[in-house]
Amino acid sequence: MAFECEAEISQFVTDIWSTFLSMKVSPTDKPFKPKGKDNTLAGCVQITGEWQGAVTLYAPKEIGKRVAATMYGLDEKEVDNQQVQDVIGEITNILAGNIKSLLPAPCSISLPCVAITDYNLHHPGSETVSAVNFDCEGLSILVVLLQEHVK
Amino acid sequence: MRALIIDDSKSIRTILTEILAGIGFAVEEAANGLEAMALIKKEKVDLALVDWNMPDMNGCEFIQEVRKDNAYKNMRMMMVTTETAINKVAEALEAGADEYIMKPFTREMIIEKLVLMGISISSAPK
Repeated sequence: MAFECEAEISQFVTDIWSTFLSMKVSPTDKPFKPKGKDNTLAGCVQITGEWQGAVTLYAPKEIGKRVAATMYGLDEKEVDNQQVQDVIGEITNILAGNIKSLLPAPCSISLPCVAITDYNLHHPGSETVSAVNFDCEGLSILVVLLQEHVK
Repeated sequence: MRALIIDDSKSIRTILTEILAGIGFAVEEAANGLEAMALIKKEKVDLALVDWNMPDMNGCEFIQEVRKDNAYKNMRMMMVTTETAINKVAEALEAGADEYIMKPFTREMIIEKLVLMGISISSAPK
């Protein structure tokens, strides 16, 4: 059975952003639009066990830089790609841990991986069960929960 | 007091270092359990903040290893993790963690847990 949890994802993302980063995000109906080529950060954490799938988070590099600058206490210009990927990976990791608490146990989450990409990671054998767009200081974020097809 | 932060995320280590250094701890960092084991063999650590999911040696394995050795019997350990399931909390406490905190956390939440662990914040020297 497909597992939809848009409301919970909205709450988790809002909490993570406000608690950790003191930044305001809010769900929006505006669809995520990549901003230029190779300018999208894609964080992904796999979920395995009783429920199988993945959590992916897409955000423009500008947001990654803002978040990394906040977390490292740096100016946005001083932040490098490694720091940006680290923070997006950790936020995806925290989000996946939160989402896992809603899923049937036992499940495990993988370590996060992060790519700087054109957008849209390909997950063969999976389908989107929840997708939530967010507005963060005028920029867009997309969170997608994918579930593996049940054999 | 000397604290060790064990997390594979540099950003989390940076945030926790800032919190602990701000309340008087001398802080060391390790990116996984193996690095942390090597570090505690070289210098005395009073408090370890340990992530769960890390490459090479995870946080629960690290805590189990530490608790096997009487040389580290006074080391206080707190799991700081995305693992939110109640059975995971129980697993960490059974392994020997003194406290457990879930991400995302705030500075106040970390300090509250340290107080619960009997660590005197105001008197913690640098």
